[in-house]
Amino acid sequence: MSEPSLQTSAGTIVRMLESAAFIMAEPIDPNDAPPNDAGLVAQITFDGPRGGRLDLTSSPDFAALLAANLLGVEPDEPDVAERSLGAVGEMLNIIAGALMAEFFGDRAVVRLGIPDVRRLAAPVAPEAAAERLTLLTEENHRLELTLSFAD
Amino acid sequence: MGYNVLVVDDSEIIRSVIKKAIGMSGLEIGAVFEAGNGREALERLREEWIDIVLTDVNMPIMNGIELMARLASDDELRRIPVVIVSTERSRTRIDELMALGARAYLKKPFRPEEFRDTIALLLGSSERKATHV
Repeated sequence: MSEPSLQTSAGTIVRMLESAAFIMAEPIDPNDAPPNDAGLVAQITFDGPRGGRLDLTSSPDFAALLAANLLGVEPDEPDVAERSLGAVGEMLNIIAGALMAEFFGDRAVVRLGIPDVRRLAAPVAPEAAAERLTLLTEENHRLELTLSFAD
Repeated sequence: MGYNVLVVDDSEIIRSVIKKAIGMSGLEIGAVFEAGNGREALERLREEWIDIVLTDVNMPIMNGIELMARLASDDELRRIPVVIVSTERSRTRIDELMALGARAYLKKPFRPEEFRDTIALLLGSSERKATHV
């Protein structure tokens, strides 16, 4: 089995965004993407053949779009804003579930943690050892995924 | 009178998505109840008549596996079919869940037709098992 990598699993991540929330996105060179404004970070831990953490950094606008798409409503509807944090956490949960099967095979048992979503005062630089994947959505939202292993 | 459904997930937005899918399924549904974890689900199950439980696995306080074990050991509640709705994709884990008594397994994200067919199959016949894995 090859080394787990966000870059080689980018297609899976793109498919999950599309199938779960009708978000069209594609990998992009971080230098070509719009700046990462202070926004939201969702984190989920995993514990299986290897342990680690997956982070998803996005903006409040993306979170609102995600919540609206999941709920099938317009982004300016009243209950969208209050559900946007949960939407980002759940999206990360879905992506993590798909990635774990791809990384470790469908017989490996991998326990995922409960997604934790926080608002950021300022963008956070990824850990040095973390692998990063930048995606740009059709609506020009920048998404950053980072993967770090505990070992 | 329609079937009563209990949706168990710690994500409020996923509960809403599932409720919406239930509403659009065309199935004869009565009430849809919600719980944020297994413990809340057991409370609802003791308060209300529930025909089917849709539950996540990974939840705080009491997860879906423990909930299933509690249902299996309860003479009154073990009649209720349980559908797992989860991001979990491990075949080993899915086999464990089915062995524990899950009647069907739906991966998130699920397609509306998968959801409808699975629920319809279980509500139509409590003796059958369904998997969309």
